[in-house]
Amino acid sequence: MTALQHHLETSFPASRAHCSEVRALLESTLTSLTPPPSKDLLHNIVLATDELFTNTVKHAYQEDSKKVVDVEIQVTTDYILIEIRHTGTPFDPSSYTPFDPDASLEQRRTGGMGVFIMEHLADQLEFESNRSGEHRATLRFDQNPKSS
Amino acid sequence: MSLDTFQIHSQTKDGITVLKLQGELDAQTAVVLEEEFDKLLEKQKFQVITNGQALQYIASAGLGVYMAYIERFRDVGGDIKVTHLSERVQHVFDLLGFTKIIDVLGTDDEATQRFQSTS
Repeated sequence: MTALQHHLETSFPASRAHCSEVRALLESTLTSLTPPPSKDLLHNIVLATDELFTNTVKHAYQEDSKKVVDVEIQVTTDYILIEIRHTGTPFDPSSYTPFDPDASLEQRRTGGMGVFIMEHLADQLEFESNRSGEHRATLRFDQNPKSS
Repeated sequence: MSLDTFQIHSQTKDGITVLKLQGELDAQTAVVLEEEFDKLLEKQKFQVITNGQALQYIASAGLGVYMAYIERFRDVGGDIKVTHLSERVQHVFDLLGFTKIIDVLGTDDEATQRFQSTS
């Protein structure tokens, strides 16, 4: 049975200046768990969340540091869930061109690298919106990490 | 605005510049590497090695800097080569396919030899 082990909710200004604080929060929260996640899983969670926070700052709020990004961490016996909420411009999967890691340098584009990382490192990535204009993205990591 | 989580130490010898990257290269600190590459282009120092021995972390924004600049160096006969990556940082290069488009080598000596054999 899945049991909640740890729960934390906090907010950061929508600025890339806070990327390192988001990473530090995850590292301190997750390494204090008993048992802590493996180093590989911890790195996957930190990197994927960093990419999600950065994309939210850049694309949802267009770097408007007066706006706020909510971050929620849920740890259960089965998985670690990171949820990021905002009220800015939602991610539109239909307008997103997937990043191609096999493309040549000439054909390569920088956009989409963050989403590519999230999709590859998390066991599940979901985007949803509610009627009150709140948008949420959820990264779920099973307690046994993916190999890639 | 704090950029103190990432620093670069630059040294040029025999026309090859080694940039020692230290700390965390992310969406906030990527501009520090951009400015360093701009300075090198301005000074016409086109043969560059970025040494990642003290680079603890890289996000996609850091890889984006390599992508934005590598052609600019290659177009003028130079290159950016990468050395001494930790396993964790190399994993991000691999995941995004950057080891296919950038020379990633074990040591600065190997990168220097690569420059000397192609110049």
